[in-house]
Amino acid sequence: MTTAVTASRRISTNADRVGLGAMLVAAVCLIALGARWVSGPAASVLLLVLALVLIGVLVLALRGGPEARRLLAPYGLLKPGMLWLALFFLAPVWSLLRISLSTKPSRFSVDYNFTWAFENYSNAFKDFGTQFQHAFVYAAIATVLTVLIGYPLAYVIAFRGGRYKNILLGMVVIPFFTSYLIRTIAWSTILADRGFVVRTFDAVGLVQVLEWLHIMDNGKLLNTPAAVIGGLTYNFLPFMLLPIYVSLEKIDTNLVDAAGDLYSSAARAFRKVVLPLSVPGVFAGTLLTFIPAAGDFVNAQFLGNPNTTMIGNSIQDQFLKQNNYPVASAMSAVLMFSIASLVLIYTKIFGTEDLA
Amino acid sequence: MGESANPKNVIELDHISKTYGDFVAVHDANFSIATGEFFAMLGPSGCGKTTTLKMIAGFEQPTSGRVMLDGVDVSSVPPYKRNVNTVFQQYALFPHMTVFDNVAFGPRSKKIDEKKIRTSVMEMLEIVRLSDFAARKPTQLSGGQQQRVALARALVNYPSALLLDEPLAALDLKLREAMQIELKRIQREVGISFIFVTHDQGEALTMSDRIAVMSQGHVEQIGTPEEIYRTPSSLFVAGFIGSANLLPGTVESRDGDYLVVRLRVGAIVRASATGTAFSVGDKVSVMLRPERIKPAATVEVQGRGIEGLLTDLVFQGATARLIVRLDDGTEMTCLADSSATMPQIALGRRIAITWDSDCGFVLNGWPDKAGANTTDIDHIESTL
Amino acid sequence: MNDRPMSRNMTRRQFLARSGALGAVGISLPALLAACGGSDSAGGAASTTVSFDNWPLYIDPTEDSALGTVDRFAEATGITMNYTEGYNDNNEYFAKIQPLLGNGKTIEADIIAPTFWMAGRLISLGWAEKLPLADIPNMANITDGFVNPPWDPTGEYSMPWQAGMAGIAYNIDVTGRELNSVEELFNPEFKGKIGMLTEMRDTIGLIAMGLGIDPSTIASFDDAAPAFEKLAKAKADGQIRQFTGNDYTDDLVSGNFAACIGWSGDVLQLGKDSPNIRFVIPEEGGTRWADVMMLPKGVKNSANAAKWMNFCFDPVQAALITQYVQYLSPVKGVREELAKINPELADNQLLFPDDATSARLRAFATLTEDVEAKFDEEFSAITGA
Repeated sequence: MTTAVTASRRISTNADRVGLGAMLVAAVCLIALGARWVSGPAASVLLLVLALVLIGVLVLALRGGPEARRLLAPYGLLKPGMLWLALFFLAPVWSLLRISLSTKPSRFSVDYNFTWAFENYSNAFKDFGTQFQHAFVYAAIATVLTVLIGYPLAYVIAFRGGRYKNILLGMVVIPFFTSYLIRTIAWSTILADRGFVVRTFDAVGLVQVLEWLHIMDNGKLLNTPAAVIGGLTYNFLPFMLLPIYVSLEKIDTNLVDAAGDLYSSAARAFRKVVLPLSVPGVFAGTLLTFIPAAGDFVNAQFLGNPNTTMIGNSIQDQFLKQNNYPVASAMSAVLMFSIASLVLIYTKIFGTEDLA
Repeated sequence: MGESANPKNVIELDHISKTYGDFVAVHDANFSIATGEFFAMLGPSGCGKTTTLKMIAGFEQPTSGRVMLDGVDVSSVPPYKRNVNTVFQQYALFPHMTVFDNVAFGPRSKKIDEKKIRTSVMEMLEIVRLSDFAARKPTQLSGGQQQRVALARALVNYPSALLLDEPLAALDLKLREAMQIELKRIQREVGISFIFVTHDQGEALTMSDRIAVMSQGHVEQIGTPEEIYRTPSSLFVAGFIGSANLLPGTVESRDGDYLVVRLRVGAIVRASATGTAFSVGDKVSVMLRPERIKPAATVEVQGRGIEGLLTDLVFQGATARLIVRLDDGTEMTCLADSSATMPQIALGRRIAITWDSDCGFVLNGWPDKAGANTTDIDHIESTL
Repeated sequence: MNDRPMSRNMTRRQFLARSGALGAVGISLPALLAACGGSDSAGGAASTTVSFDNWPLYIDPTEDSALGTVDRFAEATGITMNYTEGYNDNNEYFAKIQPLLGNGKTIEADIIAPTFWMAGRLISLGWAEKLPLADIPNMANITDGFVNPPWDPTGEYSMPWQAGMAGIAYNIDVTGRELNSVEELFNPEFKGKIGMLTEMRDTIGLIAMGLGIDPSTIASFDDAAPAFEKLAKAKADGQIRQFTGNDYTDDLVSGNFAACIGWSGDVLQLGKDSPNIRFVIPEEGGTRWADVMMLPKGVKNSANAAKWMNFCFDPVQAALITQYVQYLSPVKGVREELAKINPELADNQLLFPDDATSARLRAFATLTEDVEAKFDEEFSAITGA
């Protein structure tokens, strides 16, 4: 770094340019390495460039005096996050999009030829339309159910929990210390045809009712759409409950008293005060539930039947069993973008900018 | 009180008590508040004043006794059906609503015509001088403005009584003093009974028509600020309201309206007494307000003074504060006109403290600590 | 095929089947690491180790002071075997080794255990190493049917490990009667209570036989199309409850499945603890399959691997394995050896099918790459996952 000495005079004014520039160069290097734009000796060169840029900025900061350090510090602090994002998000997304537009020269080839193969996308839609539909419908229903179950539960814990609050929250959360898979598989035992639940329903004559409601099918509770939705609801409940709980917990109970004092019945006080103030929690919970639920494959695999498969199952199958990376990538990309646009629309409609 | 409700009384508390398990929060509170009255409930924290307020508002139900509002027993009526409104300590403004919507909340609950609501809300904002802030959110307002929104939100409903829970506690000193005057003005303007809870005796004395002094769940005394200040009913009230020098002694004899008391420090003094009948030999205390006693070179009239060492002299502008240590170590405070100094009165000199015979006031019992309550930090803290 | 356990301890067996399920969703990290961890150190002639990545519960372990095959091998030869159970599904295992072998790198295991059709694929991709046949004199003991089999016509690349049959497994408590036809899988009486295997060759093969199509002669997709159509219709009608791997045994025992396609060895085992579980080679016939031992390209300890194979083809050793896993042994003389230690098993038709039974069994034809691709694609479209 022979330029360091002369540069140190100018960096006070150029710190922003230096910091930002170094970060961008480093990020591009990492994306290039992560997405394998380059390989072999070129990759080593790139690694060297990356190291030199990082060391260079460090040297500049050390020799540039306190003012330069102060100006460069934010970039230094941003760098780990930015570079992490570049290497573990941007680079993979780049690879994913690239593969999704590629074709394999032969079935068991490990290489992909980038051919702008948009037919991967049309195939994804054509062949897996039902699975996309299942994913979004099931996830949407499960999200609504988690609100309906999670909200009252969070409400009771937040406002009526008293000194048992933490115990009650613990009881909600502790089952989720167990592996996701184990919990889901446990449901398949609970809901089995000759299991306790179905036998009980049978004994009290609920089976006919549930069959009429299309929750049970031909005497089965397990391996039905209802079981898949139920599994999703169960598994994502804490992701709904906890944000709602936090937003409810923050509400000053005096506000509820104040509403009562101002002639509001409990119902109106809830509608006008508690509910609006807890909307941010519901909003966050909805995103935390819907997004992973739409991409889930575990519940459909263990609790569903061949007619309830979700897009996650198809992606998994294409990736891990069919070795069809291009179509699997196209499906992932479609899933990613459709969730992103749904979330954007949702945020536009229900987003609450002044209640964080 | 009792069955025959006085139509002049907005609120009547008929022997109400509130207990939580073994803890008695309020014991047998029995008093009434007249229409248009500015009534204070004063006491240290934990004295039961807020609980009493909550029972009036309806947030708490009395364990026994009745709460009468406009002559009707409302003991088991929920808050939203009681025609009283509360200004909460931290105001409890709805953060997601504008000032206008906050104030309109009550009328809207009552499903009043929106046009009328608009008029009355703007009218009330006018009274609290916040018309220009109708569209703001509470977080965009200063503490004093929030306080006035809370007032408007409650008053817009024209309740039978307005309940205020430490309404000024969250404000700084200057603002608090200005708001005291503002509150009085607003109260006169709307003519509604104000019942407010405070631990600040100065605030209570300044604003109230009547004060109920409470301690440990008991109502110690009810009266006008002057009554309570001049003729406290107990050592607690004497010590809690203003500053006082409490000198323990025993009744020596009766002299017309006055009692002759032999102080523990040795002197024999004359002091007035009301209410309680004392007999010779009773343990009593003589209360002397610091501003009612004067420094002098010697005790000129027997029974109207006491001697001691001047240990401290603090110039305070209009007044000067003198600390005098009596022979038994008891410290007394005296507030004197700072312009009327005498050469004899100097630090380290032995001086006299003298008073007119009706200045001393006899109270039943001996205090925990003799002398001036203003020099005892623990005591002062316990009243905050 | 999947794991073929032989443990009387049902809980352990179920636990392992569950672990298989965990692996099935692609989170079996150790196995993945094992598959990826190809080390470059050359084995050398003096190596005393060899590694074998097999299916779960597919060999007799050392228990109750009786030495398992791995330990007996070590005792006899001084070679330490690193025996792992990384196999759960052929396609999945293939997806793991593909990036390595496809890029000319080696994998950790010296011996792998693909099913016959996958062995054929690996051989044709050139990802298998030739066996040092001269070091396996006991290969003379291999049953005739496994010498130069269709998937390895020259017999240079693979040695059989175990073989088995796929037929109909059913829970008589649920069906209420004995089953004897593939058609029963499509009987509306059992709607929503039928299980099918994710193993395409067993499911399509058995349905084909039910339709009178001989799976061993299938050469194009059109040949098998009726079987695919029948399966697709059954799935759309809700006849099929689930497509499963080896975990069909749980659903069968619990009664979630009335009937399903199953593997002989599993059901033989289940039958001991659950007498209501039955297995039948349907009247239309069943399918036959085999899992084999192969050396992946670039194998390091091929000499030791040959010693292991030679050891396993000794009828005495093979009989001990068979006694545990209860599948069909590809080794001559096992029945005689087994008669000495477990006469009951030696007479079991499902271990030693007679000629009449064998005549009703068919192995799925070896498909060309394009045809196989079409089959897999169509099958995956039906199973939906």
